[in-house]
Amino acid sequence: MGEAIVITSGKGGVGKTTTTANVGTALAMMGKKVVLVDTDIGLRNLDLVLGLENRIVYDLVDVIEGRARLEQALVKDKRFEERLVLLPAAQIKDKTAVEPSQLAELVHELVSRFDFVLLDSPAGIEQGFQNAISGATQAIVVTTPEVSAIRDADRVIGLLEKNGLGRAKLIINRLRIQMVKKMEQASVDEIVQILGVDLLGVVPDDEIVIKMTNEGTPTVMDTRSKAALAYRNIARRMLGESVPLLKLEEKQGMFNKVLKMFGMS
Amino acid sequence: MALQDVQILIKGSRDGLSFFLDPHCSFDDLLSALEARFMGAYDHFLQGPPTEVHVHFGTRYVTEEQIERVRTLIEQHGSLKVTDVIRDVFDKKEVETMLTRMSLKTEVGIVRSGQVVEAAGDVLLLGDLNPGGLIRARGSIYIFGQLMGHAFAGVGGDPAIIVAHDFRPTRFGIGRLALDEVPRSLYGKASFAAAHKNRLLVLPLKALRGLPFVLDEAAEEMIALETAGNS
Repeated sequence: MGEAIVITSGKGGVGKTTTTANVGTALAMMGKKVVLVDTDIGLRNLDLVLGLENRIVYDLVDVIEGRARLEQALVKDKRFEERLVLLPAAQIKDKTAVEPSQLAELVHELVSRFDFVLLDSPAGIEQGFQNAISGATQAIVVTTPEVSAIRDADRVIGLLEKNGLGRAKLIINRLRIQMVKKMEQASVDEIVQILGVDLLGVVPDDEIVIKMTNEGTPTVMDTRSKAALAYRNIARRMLGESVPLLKLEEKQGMFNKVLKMFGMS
Repeated sequence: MALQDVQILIKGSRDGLSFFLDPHCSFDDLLSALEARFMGAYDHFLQGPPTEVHVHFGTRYVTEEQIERVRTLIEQHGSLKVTDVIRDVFDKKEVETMLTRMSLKTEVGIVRSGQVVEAAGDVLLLGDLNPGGLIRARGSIYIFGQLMGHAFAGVGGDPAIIVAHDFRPTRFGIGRLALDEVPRSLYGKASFAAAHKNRLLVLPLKALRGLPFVLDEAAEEMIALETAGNS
């Protein structure tokens, strides 16, 4: 039996889909069997981020409405020996095409075949969100350090608690350490203090994420960037390892060290 | 029953006068007897500043309307002011309302954005009230944590306070008074809010021990500041 984890945020554009793709890929890289379910019916884009758009034949709604068997709709990512699989959303339908109970049944089916079922939730708290959480037994809430995103994350955590997903984990995305230092952005501690949930990881703001997302390659496959390391650490924590938080400080260059030595910086 | 059989006892003390009204006769007889008592010997009530009167009904059941009639009768017969009504018998509904007012609703955890806690009595929150969350209580609100959201106490007009370990509400109010700002010196500190002399006051937690006298001082200070600002 695997785990069914919904990845949600309330606010749009904070990085739910990017997080789902990268965390899922990281888990697959570590040898786990992972299925990513795009529940954002009508606004599907998890396939783009994974670079699998051209391989979609059937989708989630086809499976639920009986036009295709589950196996036919699952898109296997060849980069990971079929350990990473996508169940894409329908693009021509909307959120009302699926009932929470139908999705819960589908997730139940997937849980028996995979180690991890990651459900990429749409933004908002309406039916799409209700669908996404219906089959999940755990939740990951993604936020950025902006007040609006934190406020929506708080609202969503409240709704998750009401739906029996009380121990949600938090990922803080797109943290800019320079802005935190200048007190222009909320710090990790402040966000965790307000939301009162366990922190799963912090992903630094990194242009490489945008670049690689546009190319359809999950950032986590790049070995150098800090964002990739952050995603891998998140995956390791999900597997039960205790990994300390990344030090997000910029590395000091030699020149700056010399300046500091002379008290000039 | 003859009027002279109706027992009306009037006692004077430092705090004013206490009227002990016969609980056994009919209400109409009581009113007539009271009227008769004022005719005659007690004309010296008519002068001077109003004397405080405490009315004791004993075991008689009285409605709000009957209390009002007695109050009017007493107050129109001199320089008297009814400040307290003491009675031993209450209607069942009244008692139930009193009990809910006295009840304490305990919440454990975080009251998050979009969540509302409402109570007919007091609220005890063992956790934070996050921004966007709301507590509305007829009684007082006690928060063992951060108060960051909206807190409204004493909603029905009853006296109430709002206490928090870390006082930094978005907006808070007691009765009809509300504020969207906390004095900078108390922001984020252990503090409480109380209403006094039609002003909403925020004071450090330590001042709770000095209730109710600190409220007088604080209100007067505030009034002094206001008049200084106006002149």
